[in-house]
Amino acid sequence: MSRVSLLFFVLAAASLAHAGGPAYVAGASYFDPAVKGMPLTWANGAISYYTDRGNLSALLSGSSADAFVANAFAAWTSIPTAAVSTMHAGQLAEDVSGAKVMAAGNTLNMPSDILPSAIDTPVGIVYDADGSVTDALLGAGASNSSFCANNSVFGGIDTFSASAQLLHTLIVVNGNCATSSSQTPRSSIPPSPLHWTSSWPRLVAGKSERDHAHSSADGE
Amino acid sequence: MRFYQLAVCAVAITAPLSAEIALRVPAPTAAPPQLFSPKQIRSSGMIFSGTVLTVAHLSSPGSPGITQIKFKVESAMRGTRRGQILRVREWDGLWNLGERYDIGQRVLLFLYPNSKLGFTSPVGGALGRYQIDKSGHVLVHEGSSPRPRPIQLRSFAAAIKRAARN
Repeated sequence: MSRVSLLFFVLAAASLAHAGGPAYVAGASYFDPAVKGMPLTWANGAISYYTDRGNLSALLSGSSADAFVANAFAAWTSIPTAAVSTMHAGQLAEDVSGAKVMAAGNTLNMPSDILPSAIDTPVGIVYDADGSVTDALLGAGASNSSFCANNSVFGGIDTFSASAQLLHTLIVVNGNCATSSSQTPRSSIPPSPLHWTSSWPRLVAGKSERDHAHSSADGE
Repeated sequence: MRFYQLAVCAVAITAPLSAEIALRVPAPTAAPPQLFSPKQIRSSGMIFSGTVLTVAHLSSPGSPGITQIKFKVESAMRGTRRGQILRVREWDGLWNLGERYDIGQRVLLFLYPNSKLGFTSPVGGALGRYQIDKSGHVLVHEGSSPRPRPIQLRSFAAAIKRAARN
């Protein structure tokens, strides 16, 4: 089954987060010559993240969603060899919804604190309660719960510095994938869908199986 | 390794989610491979195979980028025409997640209908995207086999069209 096989590879790639090579390596055309060949990392391995002011779903209020996110990060940072730490540094300035994601020509507009330039909120986590942000960015119907194994959470690194540091990541969590207890198994508090948790390092550190084939970041 | 275990569990959970479409094809394939699911068909606004003509990263200062890919449609299954030069726009964030295209690359895509922003992406992420090899076979990954199974594009397209009619 091709889809299951591909899903396996996507999820299994997350297992490489602490054992594999770097997802991004400084190339020649954008980075300082002194860091050429160096892996791109978060400064001091410290990640400060900011969460949406709204709810994730009827099942997960904002505070419950925050706890869920903390749990997802902990699954990663608790690995003994993981050289990263995370901190919930605050909230975004707004409840991000599809109505706040717009395009005009070749310009995509979003709230300023989740833009690639928002390095003061280095990891912005959007709770897409009705799926409208997911639909806007990935295509009409992409937030449908039929594809939660793949579209429950997405995003990734969008800004890095010439000194080989990761500066900003946007993560969108699809609220349509958090509407029933079956999507949040074992009634853990906070619930922890498997695919969400396993996707986390890939999104924040840029891990994916294809990155190994594109391991030189030249600031494209 | 915890994430590995999670991945295996996730696969076990998602495997029975839906019935799959099976296709009987002649050699080189021996058994009917599982190709795609009805929900992939239902969710697609465009289904086609084609060749990547150009890839451009469009951006305005301070704004998230847009990836624009132009395809020459070779086999049109939904929402496209054979021979059409199709312009597809994706949120640039997908590029860093591995949703990349190279000029000259041949792919078969199930794409969502365009969003209000004019963006689309493969249905179900990587599930909606298939590589086509130089001899025109769609490469289908099955189970845990590292080697994809080659399926004749014509057979694959016919199966999609049949499924789309049902």
